[in-house]
Amino acid sequence: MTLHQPLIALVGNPNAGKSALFNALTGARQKIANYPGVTVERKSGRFSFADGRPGELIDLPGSYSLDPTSPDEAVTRDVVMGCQAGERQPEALIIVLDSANLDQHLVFALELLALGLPTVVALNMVDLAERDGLTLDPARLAADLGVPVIPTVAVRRKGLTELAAALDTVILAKQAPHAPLGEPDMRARRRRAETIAHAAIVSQTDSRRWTDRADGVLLHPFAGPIILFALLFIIFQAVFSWASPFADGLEAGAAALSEFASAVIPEGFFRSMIVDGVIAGVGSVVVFLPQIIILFFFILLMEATGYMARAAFIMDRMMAGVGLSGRSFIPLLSSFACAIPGIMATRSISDEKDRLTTILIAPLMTCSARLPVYTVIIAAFIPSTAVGPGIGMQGLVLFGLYVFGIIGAMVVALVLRSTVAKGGASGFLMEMPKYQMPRIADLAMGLWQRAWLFLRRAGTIIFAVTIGLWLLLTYPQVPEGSSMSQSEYSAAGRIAGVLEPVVAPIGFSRDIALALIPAMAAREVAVSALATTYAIDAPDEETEALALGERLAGRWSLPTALAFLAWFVFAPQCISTIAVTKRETNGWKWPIFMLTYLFGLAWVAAGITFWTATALGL
Amino acid sequence: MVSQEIAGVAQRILIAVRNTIMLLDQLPTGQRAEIAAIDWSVLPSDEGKRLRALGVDEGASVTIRHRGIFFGRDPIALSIGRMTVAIRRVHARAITLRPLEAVPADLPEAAE
Ligand SMILES: Nc1nc2c(ncn2[C@@H]2O[C@H](COP(=O)(O)OP(=O)(O)O)[C@@H](O)[C@H]2O)c(=O)[nH]1
Ligand SMILES: [Mg+2]
Repeated sequence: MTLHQPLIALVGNPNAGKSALFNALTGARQKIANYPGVTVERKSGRFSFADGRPGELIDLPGSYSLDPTSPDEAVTRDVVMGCQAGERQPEALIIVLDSANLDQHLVFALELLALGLPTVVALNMVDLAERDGLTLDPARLAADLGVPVIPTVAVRRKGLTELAAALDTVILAKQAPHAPLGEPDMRARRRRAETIAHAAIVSQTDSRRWTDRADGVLLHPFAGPIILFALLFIIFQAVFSWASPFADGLEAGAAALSEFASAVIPEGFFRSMIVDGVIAGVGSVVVFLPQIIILFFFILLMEATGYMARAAFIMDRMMAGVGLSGRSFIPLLSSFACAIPGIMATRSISDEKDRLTTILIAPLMTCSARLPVYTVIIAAFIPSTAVGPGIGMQGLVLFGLYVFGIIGAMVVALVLRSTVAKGGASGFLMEMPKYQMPRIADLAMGLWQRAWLFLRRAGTIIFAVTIGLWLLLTYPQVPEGSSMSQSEYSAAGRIAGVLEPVVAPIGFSRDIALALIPAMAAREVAVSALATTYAIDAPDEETEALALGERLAGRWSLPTALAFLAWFVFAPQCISTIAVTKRETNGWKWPIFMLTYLFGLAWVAAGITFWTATALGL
Repeated sequence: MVSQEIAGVAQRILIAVRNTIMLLDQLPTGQRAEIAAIDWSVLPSDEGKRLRALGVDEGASVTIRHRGIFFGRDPIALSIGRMTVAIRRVHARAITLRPLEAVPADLPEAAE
């Protein structure tokens, strides 16, 4: 038995199904890392040949040619040419083609074949080609290309065995493509590709019938935007109404757990830590899991069906108004769930200035971590009166906060595009994928990954910060008979005392300053921090049992509460966002810029809110 | 009437001009045309490369499928081969067309 594992690379145009094939071939045995020095992901995994020999498979970024227009495409070129740092040259290639779009996909394939590496072609998505009335002749294609051609349906694991067998053969024989296909320029390759594609097509009916019909409605100049906005409205509606029964359930669970813990753990240090620290803190955050799952469900659904590209198309005009393009819409929409995947999704924006601007404004989209903060404050201070049929005051305020963030982002984008991110107007150039039915298993997998990420964050960062805060709040213990409260007397209170003068002008008390410090880890910690602070100060069991909202209503003035909301529209209180910004911009310059401008805006916005509300006598 | 005559002449000139040079921007939705020339100099170089990579190049035949929302009708969704590509109007204005019916039958494919 030899330890040598041949390296095999999946290459092809974007959306050919490389990642789907990669997942099907490697199963759960995947490793994700970064190529050194660039923000390009290296996805590798183990797969087995028919006889059980292992091989290493890498999923390369999609590309149209070996002449790159983005860092991603440069990695693809360097890997297949064998000059990428930290990677050996692949021993074989799997070129992935979209069967329904052969003449386009073959252009890059011809360029790759000319490299002379052992190669197998996966003629992928034959199911969609069939649906669109297209019949192909793989044998003819194989004869013209000089390499094995295997029809596959990556998402239904069809053709995988044949693919592995063909790969085995070409690797063992070190079999290079036998037709010399070196075409020097792209136009010649394109003509060649068209000829080969035509020869391989047995029969075809009107192309893309389904997609064209759907686009006739979804991209209609009037109906299109209306449908998009209706959809966005439904999404936000769903996030709030569908989630509440589940959230109530989780809340009840946390309460029961806290009661149980109080009953079984003897009074003292340990009980206080578990009940006031862990359960109050982590519990107040986990409650938001249903909302996050619902939001991600819609985003994943829009991506999987192919609608996301249409949304980008419809939004392009508006985005152009602030110097961006429709491509920024997808990362920004994802940022409503969480800025981290949003910022990572900016990698698909080819223009550097566009990308930087999008990264810098992504934290202004109201992410799901702000929901805990907004919900608690709104419930405590905004009356639940109706302002119209089906429209409540509380919902309106929440909606207003979303709009506030969006307007802020637009203004900031305009300013950035004419200052630090100045540059020529970029274009909007995007392939619009075919529509297709989403697969439940893929959706479930995507949701599970997001939910797990959130829970892991709650279990690690938020857990640690909550315990740390609880310790700082509990010690030193306030002496008997002192006029100070425990939270004021504690170490944390003294630290907050230093910050207090900075935030006092905008109406923030020491308690709030105290909550803002640990909330640097993640915004939702502000809620758990307030919960922990007031739980520790509660003089008796009865007040301790009061919901956080009721306690806040008793302690804060309305202008302070409103200023607190305005603060969180802007404040960049999320370590993970800062970290991902540093990674994606390759340095500290832009994350520091982001921190500075957002804290500046937060202070000003909270200040204006507080002073105006006070002047109005609220 | 004179004005009617002038209008008629103007229209004929317009049609003649349209049949010889038309920008992609002006192609009626649903009509197929062949790209005659692209003014690469007005496109940022990366953008030109991307356009070419997507098959938007001299000699390609394209159809406008959809135009963007109400005001501005921007961007444009082009179908090229079996693919749909979205581009902005500013780029479409850099692309000159030859309507398919105006292409002489004996013209060699994509003269270079
Ligand atoms: N119907 C069908 N869909 C596929 C097939 N292969 C991939 N897809 C879908 O096509 C889309 C693009 O695939 P992906 O693997 O992300 O493409 P990549 O850009 O090449 O990595 C995804 O929504 C996949 O689920 C296939 O064989 N049949
Ligand atoms: Mg992929």
